[in-house]
Amino acid sequence: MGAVTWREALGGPWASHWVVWAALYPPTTLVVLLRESVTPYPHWWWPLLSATLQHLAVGVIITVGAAIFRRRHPILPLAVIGIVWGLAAVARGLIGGGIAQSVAGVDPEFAFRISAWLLASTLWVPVFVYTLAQFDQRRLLLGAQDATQAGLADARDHAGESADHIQHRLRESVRQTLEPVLADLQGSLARSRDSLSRERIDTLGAQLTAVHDEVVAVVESAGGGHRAAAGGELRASTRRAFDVTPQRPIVTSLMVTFATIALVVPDAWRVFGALAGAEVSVATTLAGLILASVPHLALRAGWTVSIFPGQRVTIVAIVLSVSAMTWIMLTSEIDPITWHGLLISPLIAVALILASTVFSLAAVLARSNGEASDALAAAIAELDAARATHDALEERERTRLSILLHGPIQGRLAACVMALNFYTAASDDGRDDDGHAAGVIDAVVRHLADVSVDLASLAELGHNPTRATPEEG
Amino acid sequence: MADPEPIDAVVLVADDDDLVRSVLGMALRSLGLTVVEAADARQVAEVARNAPLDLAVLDINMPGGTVHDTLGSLREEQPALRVLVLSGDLSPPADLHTVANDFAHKPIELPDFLSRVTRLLRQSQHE
Repeated sequence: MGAVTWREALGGPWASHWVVWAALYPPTTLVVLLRESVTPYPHWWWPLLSATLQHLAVGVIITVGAAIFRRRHPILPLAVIGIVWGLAAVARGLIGGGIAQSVAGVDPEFAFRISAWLLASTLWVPVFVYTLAQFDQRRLLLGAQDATQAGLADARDHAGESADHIQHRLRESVRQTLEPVLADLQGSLARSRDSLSRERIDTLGAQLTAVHDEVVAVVESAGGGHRAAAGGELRASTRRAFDVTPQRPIVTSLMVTFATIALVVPDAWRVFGALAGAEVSVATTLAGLILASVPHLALRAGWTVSIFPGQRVTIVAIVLSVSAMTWIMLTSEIDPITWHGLLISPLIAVALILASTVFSLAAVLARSNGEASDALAAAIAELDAARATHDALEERERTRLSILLHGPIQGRLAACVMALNFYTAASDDGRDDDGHAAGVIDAVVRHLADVSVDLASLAELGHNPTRATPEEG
Repeated sequence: MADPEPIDAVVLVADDDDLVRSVLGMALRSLGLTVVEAADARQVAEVARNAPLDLAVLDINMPGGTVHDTLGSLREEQPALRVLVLSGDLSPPADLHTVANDFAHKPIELPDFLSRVTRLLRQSQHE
């Protein structure tokens, strides 16, 4: 898992994601409300309806448009994304103008509406899409880092395990699995060997086959389980992904100021005149200066600063900048009509908060994700190496155990299985000699007793690895 | 299973487990075959020197030598001898196919064992 490139971020699934679409609903609605504040609609809710219809049309265009092009390009070319979002902006202008004309009987001003939406889309949508793609990638990277660190801790625990410990664990596993089954079989055979029916021998043969297969299976599976569950995408919490230190706050706040002015000034100018436009520019510039200064000074003072909107320094910066902007809008007298400021201020405040969060993240996340991706790759390499070392050791011990099991245990069990199966098959074919059953059963019981002794001895050797194994004499 | 046509042949059963030798011998005798037994590699070599054999059923792990040693001593005395190797392993060593005529996993079912023995003996008789 690596960092996301510009092209992957802008052309990937986030280009047409519903979260982007939903996140843009509040600011675009405020823009429409400001734009239609002087349109003589018969009811107050017409601007709201117009904003909602425009936004629904945008949702349909980006969803359908992206789906059509994505059939051929999993990552959409930037030109395609530009065309889709451009069409959405044109649709907004046409719908907004059309409703204003048909309901309020005013000039639809299509050129202004379409141009304003194209400008706003160009400045806001790419940053939104890019930031959300990087943000999601950061959550995935942090989740993968957590899983890898947990795996590393597990691997480090196992790294201290010696060959003797592994051998002991494997032998204990074999003993614990087989001992009760063997005891049961021995008891069953010993109790009823003089009156064993053909069906009973058949059943015992099947049980013994299961025991034999178990020996093979236990050796294969014993001692595993240290691998953390792989696969499945884990995402870190949103709060944690937000927790990054802002970089270059002055450059970021310049972009925030410019994007906010581009979003608000055209409508403020058109609706309330040049003075209102100038007032918005001054208020937004002052707010931008505060947004830049507070984190910049806090960072220089060595304080902890995070982009998370709930972090102390960020809260102070946002509150101060919005307050300063509101103070200018209401009291500066650049535009002498105060209610203009009252109408415009909420849109500027929302735009400033959104832009400061999104633009700050956009400036930081690419580098953070690159660093997180490198750290993750290093941790995965360390984990793979630790697991490979342990797996090699365990495989060696498993092979050693399987050799030990081969003759004294697995071989004898195979002999017992064959004895019972051959005997029952011969009975079916009428080849049975009277009284042969007891001889076969006696031999099988003896073999099983020997297997039990060897099994106990094998487990005992696991506790005392320096002693010789049964096979080693 | 119907009684198979009796085959006049001598089969060596070589396994260090007496129960395995016993049940394999019982099965082979039911076909009318003559069975000789060996418990280790040394006994196999001795039997091969003293008795003409039509088939050998060998355990892959026997005391006294590797399966290749045992097969070598058999082939030295009786180059055309057919050999069936039985093993607890699921798959034979890669190079065993070149020296043994057949390989089977232990435990083996009686019909499977008899079918392999019969096939190998018929091949031996047709040469």
